[in-house]
Amino acid sequence: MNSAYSRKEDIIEELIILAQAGDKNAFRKIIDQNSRFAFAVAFKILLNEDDARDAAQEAFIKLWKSLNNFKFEAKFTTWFYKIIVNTSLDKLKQNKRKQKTFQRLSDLEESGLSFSKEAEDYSNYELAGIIKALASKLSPKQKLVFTLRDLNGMELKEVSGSLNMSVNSVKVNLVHARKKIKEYLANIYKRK
Amino acid sequence: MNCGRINKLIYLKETELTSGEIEAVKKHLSCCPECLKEYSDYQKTDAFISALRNSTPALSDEAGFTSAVMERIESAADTAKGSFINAMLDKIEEFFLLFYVRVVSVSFIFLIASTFLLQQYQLLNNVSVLENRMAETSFAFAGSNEMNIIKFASDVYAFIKGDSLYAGLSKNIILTDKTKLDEMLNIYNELQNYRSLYRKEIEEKYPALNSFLNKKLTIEGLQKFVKENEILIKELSRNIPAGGK
Repeated sequence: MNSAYSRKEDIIEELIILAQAGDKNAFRKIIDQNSRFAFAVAFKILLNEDDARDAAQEAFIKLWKSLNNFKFEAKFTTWFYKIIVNTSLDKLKQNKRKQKTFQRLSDLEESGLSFSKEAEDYSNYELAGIIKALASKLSPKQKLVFTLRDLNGMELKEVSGSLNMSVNSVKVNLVHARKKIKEYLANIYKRK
Repeated sequence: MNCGRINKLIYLKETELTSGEIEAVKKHLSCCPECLKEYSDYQKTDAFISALRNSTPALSDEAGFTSAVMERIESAADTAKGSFINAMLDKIEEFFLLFYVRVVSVSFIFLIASTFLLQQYQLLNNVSVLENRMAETSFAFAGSNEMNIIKFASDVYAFIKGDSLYAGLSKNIILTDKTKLDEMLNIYNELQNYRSLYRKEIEEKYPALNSFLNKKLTIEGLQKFVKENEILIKELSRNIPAGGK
């Protein structure tokens, strides 16, 4: 653990102690420091800027309500990360209930997106489009496993816990998801 | 050599495989060009996905984001204050939705209802008994059966003293006379107490009272005596010592 990272954790812990005592300014600083992180995690699950923004806000509200449960035994980011993932997954379920369908692959291809650009160069919309296009080829379980493991970098055990699925089942779904995505990207490159 | 199994394992990262599986994959790839090509292709895909993972989407209007969260927290706190009673009611409702709580509640209500109905039945039964006795008494009264009259008066007195609900459910005659009867019987008891304390004085000073107290009690006699001796009774009532009551 480098000293800069350690210092950042110390600052967060100091802010949490203040926020636990009801200091809203301290909590405001916690939001300022973690809003980009929360949005990024939520975005890679929800693939929609508005939904991700909303889920990230809800995650912070849940954080405020459950702040006194944080006992400093785990890293704050790990703990908060779980809150964001669970909030985003709940929102995803709500969206499914609302019959919100994924953007059709054909629409995406017609929009002329290129997969050859550097990933960092994509806008939020384009990123969402690419990920949606990839995810649209997958079954619901594969989509969730792929999103949490490959796009959010969660450990297999964390994915297993979040989705209430065995680690072996996570691996099986992951293999199928990665294989389908590889074939899909290979086709795109072949056409180009 | 099992291409099918290895073909799946090449889609997993080293951290997702056991050491035995890693060895098996390496060994297989060293001698299977088809799987090696698939593995290489997947590595390109993996690089692209990694790049996607590392390209953090930008959050627009960060200051607005923070303010929105704080506003939502404030408004949630206001709502929580306003809905405290609702939340409590919800909790109570949830409590009563529990199966065993419902069973206990229904049993309790049934018990209360049964007790009430039983009490009402006994009450009506008592009123009925009293009404019959009243009918008997009026016959006995006509025949000057003093014992029956006194018994009736005593019953009515106990009845009135015992429970006003009984009196309320009884016939008009009891309601009309109960206060007066109550009052007269009190006076009679007080006079008896007074005489037991001051027998000699009563015998000398109030022979009429002494004679009345020596006779068997009848409602008629009591009514007559109280009516004719109001002044005497008032005077005696003032003199009756506390211990004599």
